[in-house]
Amino acid sequence: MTRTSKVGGRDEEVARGAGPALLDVRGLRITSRIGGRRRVIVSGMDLALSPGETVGIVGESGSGKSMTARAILGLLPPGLFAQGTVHYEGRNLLELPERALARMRGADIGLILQDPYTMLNPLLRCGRHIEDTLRQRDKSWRGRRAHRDEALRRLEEVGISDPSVADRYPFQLSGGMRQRVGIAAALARDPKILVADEPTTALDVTTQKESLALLKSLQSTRAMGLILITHDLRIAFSMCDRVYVLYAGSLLEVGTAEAVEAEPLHPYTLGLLLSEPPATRRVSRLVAIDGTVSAADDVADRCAFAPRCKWKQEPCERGKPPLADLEGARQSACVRIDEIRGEIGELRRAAERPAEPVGVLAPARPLARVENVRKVFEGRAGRAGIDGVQALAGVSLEIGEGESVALVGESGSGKTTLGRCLVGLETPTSGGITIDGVTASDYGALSVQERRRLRRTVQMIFQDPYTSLNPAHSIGFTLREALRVGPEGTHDLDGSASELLERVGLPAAYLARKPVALSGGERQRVAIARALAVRPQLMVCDEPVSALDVSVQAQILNLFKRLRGELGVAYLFISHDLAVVRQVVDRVYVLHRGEVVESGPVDEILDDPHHPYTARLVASVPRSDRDWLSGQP
Amino acid sequence: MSSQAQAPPIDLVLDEYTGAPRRGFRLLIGLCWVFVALVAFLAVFGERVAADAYGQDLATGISTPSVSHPLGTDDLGRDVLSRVIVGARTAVVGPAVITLGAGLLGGALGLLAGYRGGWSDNVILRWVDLMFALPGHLVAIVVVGVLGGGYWLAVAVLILLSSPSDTRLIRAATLEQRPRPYIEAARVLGLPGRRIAAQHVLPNLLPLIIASVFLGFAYALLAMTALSFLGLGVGPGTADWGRMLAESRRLIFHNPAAALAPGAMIVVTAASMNLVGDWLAERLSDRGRAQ
Repeated sequence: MTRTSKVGGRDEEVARGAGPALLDVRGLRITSRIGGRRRVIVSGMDLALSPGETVGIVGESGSGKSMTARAILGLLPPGLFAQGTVHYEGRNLLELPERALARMRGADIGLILQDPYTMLNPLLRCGRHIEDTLRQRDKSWRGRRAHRDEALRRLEEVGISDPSVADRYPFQLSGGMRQRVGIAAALARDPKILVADEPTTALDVTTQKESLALLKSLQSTRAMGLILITHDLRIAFSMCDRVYVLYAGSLLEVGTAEAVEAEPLHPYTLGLLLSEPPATRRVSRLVAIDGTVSAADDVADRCAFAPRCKWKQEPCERGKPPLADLEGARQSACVRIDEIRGEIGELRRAAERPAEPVGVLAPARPLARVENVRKVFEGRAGRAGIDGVQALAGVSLEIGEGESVALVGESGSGKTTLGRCLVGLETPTSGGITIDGVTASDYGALSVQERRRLRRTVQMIFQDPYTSLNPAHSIGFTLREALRVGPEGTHDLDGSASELLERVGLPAAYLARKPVALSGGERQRVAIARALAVRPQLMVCDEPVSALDVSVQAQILNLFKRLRGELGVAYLFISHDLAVVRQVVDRVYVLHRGEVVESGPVDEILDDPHHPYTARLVASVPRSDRDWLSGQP
Repeated sequence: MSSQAQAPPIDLVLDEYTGAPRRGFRLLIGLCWVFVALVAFLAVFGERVAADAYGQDLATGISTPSVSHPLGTDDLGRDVLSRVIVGARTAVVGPAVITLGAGLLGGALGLLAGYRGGWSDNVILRWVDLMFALPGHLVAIVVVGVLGGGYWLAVAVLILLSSPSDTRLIRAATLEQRPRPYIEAARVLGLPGRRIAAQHVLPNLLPLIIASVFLGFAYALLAMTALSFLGLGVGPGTADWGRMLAESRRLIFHNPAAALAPGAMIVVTAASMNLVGDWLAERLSDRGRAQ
C-alpha cells in the first residue's frame, strides 16, 4: 500500500502506546439475541490502551460505544454476547468466570457512569460508598477510623474538602458533587484503568468542565489508563491522547487527537467536525450529515457510513472495509481515502471561513412582553418549615415580531419555567405577560376567544423528541388534530398535513407512520410541524436539539433557520448550549437563579460578557484544544 | 441521549439470561389460551353440547364415573359432566359483565380524577377510600342476602364493589401520563380536556386496562362462585359451578368427581385467565419497544 504523508507521523510512541499495552482489545464483536433474532451491535472493534494514556471512544447514539465499555468489564446486559479477546495482564477477560471478573472490577478496572443520580445508592451516606470499597481492597482488619480517614482523604483528592460531605446522603448533594463522590468511589481501590462512560453528559456545562479537569488531573497524577466514552468530539480532543471514532458498531477512524482534529481521514469524522456548531461565530448554514444513524445490524456487511456518505461508490458496499494503516499511526476504514483526501481537506478549510455578522435588525414591533414575572412553587401545603421554591424572581423580557431570542442558563435557572409560563402550562405567581396584545398571565382567566387566539399565536417545542409525540397515534392523526384547531379550518386536512411534513423536510408517506418508526431527528421535525399547524407567530423551543445527535442537530438547527426565513416566526430559544444559541438567535437573555443578569445582542454577550456568570458560561463551552481544561473557569 | 445502555425488555417468553425461548412457558400459555377459548365456547354453546343438564333420574341416583356418565351422576341422578358444561355460562357471563362494568365505571372515574385533579380528584378518592374500608365480600353477602339474592343483583353489587380498584389503577396511570410532553403539547394546542383524556391519555392506558380486565375476571369469578356457593347467587338447582360445589359437597365419598369437578373448573379457569392476562400485559407494553 502506498500512502503519502502530509501530516507527518508525530508522536508515534503516544499513538502506539509506550511499551506493552495495558489493555488490548481485538476483534471485539457484540451481538444480541432477542426474540430469536441475532443482531450485530459492534463488530471488529480493536483498542489498545497504555499506562497513563487517555483514549477516547467517540460516537453518536447507537454506535455501540457504551456496549464496548460494558463488554470490557463483563457487564453486558442479558441477551447480549461478546466475542473476540480483551487482554489484560495476560488474561482474556471475556473468558474469565464472573467471580474473577467481579474481583477485578473496581480493583483493576474502575467504571464511572453517565448518571450521577443513580450511580450512588441513595440509602448509603457518601462516605460509606468509599469506605466499603476500601474495605474490599484491604481485607486485613483496620479500624473504622483508618478507613474513615482514608475516605476523607479520597474526597479531598476529588476536590471535596468539607468532611461533612461524607456524612451526607447522595440526594443532599448537587449533581457535580455526586459525580465527584462517584469518581472517588471508583478510584478507591486504585484501579489501573478507569472507564468513564459519558461522565459529564448529565451535568451542567460549568460543572462539566470542572469534572473533566478533575478526571484529567487524577489520571495524570496516578498514571492511570483512561477510556473516555463521549459523543462530543470537542471533549474527546481536549481530553484524549488518541481517539477512536465509532459509528453504527464499526470503527471508522483511529488516530492521535491532534492529527484527527487537524485532518480527519474519514468522511464521517469530517461530517462530525463540520456539523458541530462553532461557539465563536455564526455561520449562515451548518453543514449537516444527511439522513440518520443506521442500525449497526443493517450495515454489518458494508461500510457503516456508506448510506450517508456523499463519496459512496460501489466498492464501499461490497464488504465491510477493515481499518487500513496510514502514516503517522493513523487508521481509517474508508476505502477511498486516497482519492478523496484532498476534497476532505478542502471542505475542512472551507468551514474555517470567517464569521458572518448577525444582521442588525430594525427594532421590531414587540410581540411578547414579560414584565417582572415571579413564580414560586409552593411547598407542600400545611407542612411547616417548607417554603416554596422561587423559580423566577422578577424576570422581564421582550420578544419582537419575527425575532429570535435566547434564554440561556444552567439547570435550575428558571429558563424552562418562564417558557412554560408563556404557553400557559404554568401560571406566574405575580407579574404580567402580554402576547400579541392579549394579557396572558393567567390562561385560565381568559375568554374562550382570547385563549384560542393565544394558542394560535404561541406554540411550544419540547426537549425530548421521544416523548413529545403520542406513541398511540400516527403522524397523520397528530397533524390533522393540530390543523383542526388551527385557523385554516377542516377542509383537506390530509393535504395540509402533507404540506406541513414537506415544510419540515419529511415525505408525505410519513403520515401513516407511528412515532416508533421514526428516528429522534424525524420526530423532532414532526413536533415542529405540529406546532406550525396553527400558524403561530412565536415558538417557545425548550432545548429542542439537546437530545439529538450532533449530525442530526445541525439538520434541525438549519430547519429552524429556514422556517424563520420562510414564515417570519419568532423564537424563544431555551438552551444551555451557547454554541447552538449563537447559530440561531439575535438576542440573548442570561438567566441565573431566576433573574436576568445580562442581556443584549448575541455577539456582544458571547464575545464580551460583562457579568461573571455569563463569563463562566462562555468559558465552559467545550473547545477542541487542550488549553480549554487548564484555563480558569 | 439514548446512547446509554438500554437493557432489553425482559420477556416472559424468553429466558433473560440465555435469550433462548422458554419452551415450558410457551406451552403453558398456549394451554391457558386453549382452556380460556374452550370455556368461552361452552358459555355460548354449552346447552347444545350437553344435551341434558337438568334431567333427573332418581332411580339411578348417585353413580361413579362410567361410559354413559363420564363424571358420574349426582344424588338426583343428573349427569355431572353436562352440568359442568352448562355451568360455564353463569361462570363466564357474570364475571365478564362485572369486569366490564367495573372497568367502565372505575376507569371513567379514574380518568376524571387523574386528569382533572382538584376537587373532582378529592371527591372520587374519598369515595374510593370509603369503598376500600368496607370488607367487600361481607358487604356483598349482606346486601345480596337482605335484598333477597339473585344472580344479576349479585353482579350489580360486585360491579360497585370492584370498581374502586380500577379507579385507583387508572388514576395513577393517568397521573403518570399527564406531565408527558405529548399531553402538554395537546394542551398548548388548546384541545379540550375531554378530548385529551379520551384521545391522548386513554389509548396509552389500553395495555394496562386489558391486563386488568383479565386479572379482574379471575377475581370476579371467585366472588360470584362464592356467592352462589352460599346460595345467594343463582337459584337452587341451577347448573352453576359454585352452586354445584355447595350441593355436591356431601357426595365427596360417594362420587368424588361430582364434588371436585366444579371446583377444578373454577381453579383452572381463574388461573388461566390470570396467566393470559399477565402475558398479554407484557406483550402489549412491549409493542412499542420491540421495533
